[in-house]
Amino acid sequence: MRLKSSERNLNNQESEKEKKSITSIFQQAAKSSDFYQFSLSEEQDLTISYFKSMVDADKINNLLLPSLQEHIKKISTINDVKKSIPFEDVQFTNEPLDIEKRLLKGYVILEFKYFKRFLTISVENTNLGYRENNDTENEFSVIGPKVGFVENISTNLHLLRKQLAVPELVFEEIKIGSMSKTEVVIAYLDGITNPEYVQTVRQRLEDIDFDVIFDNSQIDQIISDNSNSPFPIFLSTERTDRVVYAMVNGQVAILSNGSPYIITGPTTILDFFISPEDYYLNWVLGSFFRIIRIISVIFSLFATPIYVAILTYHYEVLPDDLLQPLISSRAHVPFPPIWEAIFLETTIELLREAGARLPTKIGQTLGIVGGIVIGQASVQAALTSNILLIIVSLSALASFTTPIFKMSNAIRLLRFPLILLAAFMGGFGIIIGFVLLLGHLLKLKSLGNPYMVPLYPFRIKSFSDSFIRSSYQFTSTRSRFLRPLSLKRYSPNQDKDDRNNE
Amino acid sequence: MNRINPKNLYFFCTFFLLSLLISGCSFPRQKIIDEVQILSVYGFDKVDDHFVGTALYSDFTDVGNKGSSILQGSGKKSLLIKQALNEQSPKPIEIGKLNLLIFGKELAENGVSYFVKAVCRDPLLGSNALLAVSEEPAGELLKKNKEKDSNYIYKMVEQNFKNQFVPLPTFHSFLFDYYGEGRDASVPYIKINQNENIEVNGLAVFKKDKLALILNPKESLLYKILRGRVIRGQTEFNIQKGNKIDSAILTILNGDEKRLIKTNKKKTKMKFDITLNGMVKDYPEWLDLMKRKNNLFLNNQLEKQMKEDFENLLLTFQKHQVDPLGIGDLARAHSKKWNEKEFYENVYPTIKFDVNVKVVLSQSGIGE
Repeated sequence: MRLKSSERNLNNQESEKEKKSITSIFQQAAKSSDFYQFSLSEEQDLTISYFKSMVDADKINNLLLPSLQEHIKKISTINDVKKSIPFEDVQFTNEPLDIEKRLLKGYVILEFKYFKRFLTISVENTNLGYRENNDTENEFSVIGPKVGFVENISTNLHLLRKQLAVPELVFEEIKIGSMSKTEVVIAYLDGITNPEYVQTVRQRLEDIDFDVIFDNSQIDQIISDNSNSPFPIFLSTERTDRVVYAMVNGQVAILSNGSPYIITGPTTILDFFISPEDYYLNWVLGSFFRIIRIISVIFSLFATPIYVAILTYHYEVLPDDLLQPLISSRAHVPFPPIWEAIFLETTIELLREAGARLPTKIGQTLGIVGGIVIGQASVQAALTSNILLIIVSLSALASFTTPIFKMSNAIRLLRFPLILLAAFMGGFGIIIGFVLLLGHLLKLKSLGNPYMVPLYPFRIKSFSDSFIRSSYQFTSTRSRFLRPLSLKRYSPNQDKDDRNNE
Repeated sequence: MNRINPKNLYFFCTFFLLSLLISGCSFPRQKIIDEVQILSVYGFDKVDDHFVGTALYSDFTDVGNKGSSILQGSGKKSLLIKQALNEQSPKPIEIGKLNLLIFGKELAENGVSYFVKAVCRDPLLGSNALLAVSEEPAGELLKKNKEKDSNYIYKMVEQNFKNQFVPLPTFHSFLFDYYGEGRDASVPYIKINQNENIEVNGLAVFKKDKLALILNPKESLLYKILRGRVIRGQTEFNIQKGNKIDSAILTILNGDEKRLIKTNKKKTKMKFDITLNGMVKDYPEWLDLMKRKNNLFLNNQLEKQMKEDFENLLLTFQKHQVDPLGIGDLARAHSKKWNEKEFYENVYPTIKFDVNVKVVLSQSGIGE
């Protein structure tokens, strides 16, 4: 690490020594076809330079040029120019580095040869190249808002600020990426979020040395506590309500420009099985769906390994009535159960991967064709048994109920080592796999906070919003394990009487 | 960012390689479900000085195959029998899903201790499998089952345990009675009836490891009630009023049984309090149960007959020196010094039994 930082210092010094002249900057820029440089009038020696691709051309044509032409005659001091230009971000600078940076960010540079001063005006077209539509596309919910984040960070900050209308909401900006200079924002609620987490995130973000940040998920991997874990350490979501809820509970959110996904942390494993919809439904229904989701994860992890283990080693545990269908459906399959299972699981993974790569409409057709035709055909061709087909497709279905995509990927991956262990050592192998998995989970931390809390360390008070989503009456405090600075969220109405006195 | 610890990497690689090697080692232990022969019924007989084992299984790999197949082999030891069966079978024989174990009557009379030790205590065998003694040699009985599903006999015994007169017939209860001090084992008794069908026909009571007494279905039901766990079943009894004699059927719905043992200086008294809730469904036409007087009369007759039957059964047990009810165990629990041999030689034959039967009839007289 020390070597790296000294190297970076060296770089900085060199660039400062170099002291690019402004003319050389313009010369370099002029190699690009989208660089525009022209003089407005001969007398005042006024040169305008900008990158056409970065600026809002309408603003230049309709506002900047007319006002300059109108006032150009009257200019006597440089400050007159500033007054006459109808833009908020107008700055003087003679610093070549500043000018280079601003030029690339979509500023217009006015050069007054007479005053020997440079004026930078922000006419950046922030919306250029970004989509207008901000529906949630991947984390869909039937009930509740369908507003999602977009690539543009100022829209995202706007969305957050709109929902959390308190001055305590703090956005801290850091620039990351030696080439991309991506704006990364740490968002948290001052006085609620534990400053330790903010400090940890800030520290880790500042330590990042990377060239181009394409997506927030890269930051997620770089700053995660354990990058060798298949489990996501931070929750990444495109839903505004999820991020706001996390922040209200005392978590930190990290936004980065150009990424519609926002990561929040510290997370616990149960956070990944919570859908915002749970909170929009009645608590009875919400709890039911949440329990179904958790059961489906367990099913998805263990169904195929248990099938393999039983069929390879433990025929004793099968009920009498299940023997016949199992044996007769397997009778013509030439492979041992392990190959059968691996074949089908791989097929499902192929279908999923192909479906994700193909355009939406073709993808749907492929899903149907793949699911029905391949499944049916492989049973008739005696490559797999009927019962395994049902188990594998059910467990694939179950894995998709997990609301966070990264978590459902992790679960689908973990099935494979478990299937192998089941084939090698039967039920004993499954238990070994489970113990290793549990050990790994117990060791995991998210921003220094245990990943398995409230299961381990056991926090009974936090169970009101974990496996079940209890009534709002019982979830009035923040989770204690996140160590927020203030515990109370709201005070529920204690009056349980019938409002209508009926 | 944390780097992978090289130690962990080595560990992972070794583990992965080892797990691949283990798969090679696991091959002989694999029992892939359609590549083993899963037996459902296993029967043993004694012929001269060696044993004959007969196994029944269904071959599910052939979908059209409805009946069951039979393998027969003989040998002096149970493992030799299994070996003989394996010699005739295309797939390895597995006894892990055995549902029923049948001892031929001749073998049972000569003692089953060897098989209890060698087969019943095999950890592969489930403790919820059933045990039975057959009147004919087990091999012959099983051959009668060839046309039917291999689990037919098992289901038949189980059905009779759930609804009729057969007391709990599992290995679990058999081994408890067999090894427990002060109790004797009892298992269902099956035979081939006149129509060449297999039926459950009472109960075989063991003394130690030898068959000592066979109870008929009615006695078997009474014994089941005295055991007290599951009180359910149907029994026939006689009604005599004036000079009219006919029989009626008592359906026992549920009941309660309590035992009490009292030991004075020399005499030991045993008391059973039995309450039976039931209904009389099938009764002679001349008895009008809508009348309260008749109802009481029926109740009295029933209680009297039941008491007599129970006491007769207990006397039979005493006479044959068997104790399937675990009276010795009860006495042991109520005394400081207890010696099994002494108890059965001196005390057991002299025990006075007192059975109190209370029958509560409900819904009697209501038509079907």
